[in-house]
Amino acid sequence: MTKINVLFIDDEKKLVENVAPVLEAKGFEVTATTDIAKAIDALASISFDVVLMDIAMPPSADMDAKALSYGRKTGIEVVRQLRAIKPDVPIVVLTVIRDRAILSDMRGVGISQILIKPEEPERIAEVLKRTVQK
Amino acid sequence: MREEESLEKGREVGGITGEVRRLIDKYGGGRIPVLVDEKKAEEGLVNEKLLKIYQMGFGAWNLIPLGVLYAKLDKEGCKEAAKKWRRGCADYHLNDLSKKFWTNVCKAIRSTGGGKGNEECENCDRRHAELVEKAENVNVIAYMCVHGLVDFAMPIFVDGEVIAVIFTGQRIPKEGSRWNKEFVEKDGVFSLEKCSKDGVEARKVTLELLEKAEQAYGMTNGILLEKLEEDAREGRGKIEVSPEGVGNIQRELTEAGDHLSRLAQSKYELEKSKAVAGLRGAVARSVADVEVDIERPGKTLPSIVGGISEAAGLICKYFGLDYMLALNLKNEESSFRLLLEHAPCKSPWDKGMWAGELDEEAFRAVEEEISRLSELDDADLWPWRKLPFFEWVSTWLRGKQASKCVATRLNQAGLSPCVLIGGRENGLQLSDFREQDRKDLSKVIGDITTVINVLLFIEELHWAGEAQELFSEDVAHDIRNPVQNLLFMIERLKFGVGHGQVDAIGAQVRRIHKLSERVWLLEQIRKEGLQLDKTGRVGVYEVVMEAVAMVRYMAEEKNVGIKVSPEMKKWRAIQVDRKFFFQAMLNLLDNAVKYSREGTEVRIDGKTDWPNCRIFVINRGIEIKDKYKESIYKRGSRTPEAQMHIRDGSGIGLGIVKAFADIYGKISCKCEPVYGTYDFVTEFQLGITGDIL
Repeated sequence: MTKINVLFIDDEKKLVENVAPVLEAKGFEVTATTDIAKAIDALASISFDVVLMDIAMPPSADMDAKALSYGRKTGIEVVRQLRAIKPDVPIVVLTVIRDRAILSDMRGVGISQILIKPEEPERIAEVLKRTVQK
Repeated sequence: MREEESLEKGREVGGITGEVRRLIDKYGGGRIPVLVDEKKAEEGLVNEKLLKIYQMGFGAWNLIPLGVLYAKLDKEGCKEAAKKWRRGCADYHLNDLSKKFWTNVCKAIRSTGGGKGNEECENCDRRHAELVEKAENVNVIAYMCVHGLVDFAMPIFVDGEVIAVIFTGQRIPKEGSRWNKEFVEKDGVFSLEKCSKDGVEARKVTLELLEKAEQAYGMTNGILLEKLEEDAREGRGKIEVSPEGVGNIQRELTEAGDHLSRLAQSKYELEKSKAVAGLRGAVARSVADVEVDIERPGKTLPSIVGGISEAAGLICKYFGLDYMLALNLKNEESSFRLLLEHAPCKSPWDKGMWAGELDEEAFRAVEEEISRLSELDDADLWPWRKLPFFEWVSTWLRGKQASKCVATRLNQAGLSPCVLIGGRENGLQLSDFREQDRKDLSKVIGDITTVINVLLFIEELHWAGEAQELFSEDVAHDIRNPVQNLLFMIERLKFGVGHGQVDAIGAQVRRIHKLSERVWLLEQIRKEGLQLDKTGRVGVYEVVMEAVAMVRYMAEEKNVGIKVSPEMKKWRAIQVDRKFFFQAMLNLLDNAVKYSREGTEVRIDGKTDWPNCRIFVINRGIEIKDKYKESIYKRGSRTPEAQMHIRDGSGIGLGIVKAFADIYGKISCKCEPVYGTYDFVTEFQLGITGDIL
């Protein structure tokens, strides 16, 4: 059976360190990073089945930080950039943000699924599988 | 018909006032006719119809034509001294309308002599207008004009002030009548007030003056008498008057003047009540918007600002102001902002000069100057020229030829809005307003200020709401992320325990524990329920090192070194609550490490000057702008730069540090540029109140 190839982006270093081995044990191929620029480069060069990412992250140097409400919406900008490279790759968001306006913005850029932290790793794996199967 | 008989007959039908009233009812159709004609506001505000009605009524009764009229008609209610009246018959714009009411005699004199006749007549009118104004009563003044004709000056009052003078008359003294000896020229004025039978043969004086005018202006001898006869033939009146007739005409004219004054007063009050109602309506609409849309500040704020702007526009229109500025004096931030500008002309505020911030000394100077103002006051602009920011206000206003402006200082809900109202080009002053206008203006400004305060309150609520939302989100972030980490770490344990995994789990648990401790402590502080240990002696070095141990793990992860000055080992113990002190130091160090650049060093230095000691925590990282130096210690406050660079953090830690400093000393900070980066130095002063042992 072909492994599902996941790109995981989160600024939380410890989470990035731990998500990869857990998901890999559940049959995923994981590329995990805290660096937004590296994530975008990876998406351009590797064929991913799904992206799992945070929304609230410090912006990268080339982003207009003020327009991103100081890190609250950085992920939305990242989603836009990812969409520009791979319009069809499904994106699952794993975030602490529950702000309705931001959640609405996320739906506006075509997020497949939103998971609110903390979420059981098992459920995250299930959601990723289901998203890819769709 | 003899003159006395005519007067008697007139009284039977209601006299001149009755006649005017009848005609007004006929022409006015039930509306209040006014001296100010609304329809002709643009071309001149004198209501010609009313004057004609008056003329007809007056002429029908007194058989005397309307002469010229001085009218200082100012619907905004700003008075102007009679000596400034420039024309014989002036409208609002001081355009000469007198020609429309000239009699044949007037025309003959005023249109000859290359303008000299008109000039003499105007000077004569002006002198008598001043006399009427100075008289401060409702009596009609009778006098002999510069060319010997018997004239009457009838004042029209609004709120006890002369707003217009109607000149009428143009008869000559009756042949054989004797006039008071005071009927002589005095300061260019011929008074007939005290005429009597036993005085001067006045007719001779009149004829001499008419002849003199004819000679001076190159007119045919006797032409002016002929013109008087002509006026009489046209049914506009007799040409003679006796001293008794003068008295009767004065009484009748006084009645007519009363009537016209009442009309003017009614119109004035109507205009004013319309103006005030309009203003209050605009303010009320703003308040209604507040009630309806308080949950939607994005919609409410522009709506309120719109209402205030509308009210300001109406104020300018009805009170005759060229511009209106509302400035808000912000106590907390030592700055002013322009809340409202209603000005047809460009001002320096367009360039954003109004938004400047002041240092504390400058701010206090401005505040002191403003504190001299009462609720509604004339502000002297001269002292303002030296005050930062207000020099702009002063320069701009003085550029508009205003040496003073009307200003208010209102303190409501702890705010000090300073509302400035600019005046006309010649510099409006509070004394230029009528008493009632002043009260109305004060009330309306009070209303507007209330709305501005509501606006500020909503704004604060809005920002407080946003801040609360951010705070909740930050706290949620700080809790949910380690919990998410733990879930994955525990899941990972199923595949066996790896190197350092237990330590990593411990770090995440400590992270959550640290946050829960902080939240609990801050809540105790907020409720003022914190029980402090006042007996324990605490070693500063010991507590600092304990805090260092707690942040060492995080510092190593970031490759940030921590260096504590060994000098602190020698310090004496201080008397503070140990747990609270530890939490404050931990938070300071936690913050210092969090905002340090990788590969840098956090330094903890100290200086003592017993009973005081100072602890310095220095880290190298992002810039903290001066304007955030105060606010970073507020609970939940995070600077935009902090939020941009570091996602972790909720602003709780420094809130606790500040609470500790408030009890045991004080805290301050500074940010110094160092080789393209910044050293952030926190200075913690302890023992100021003598708590060091």
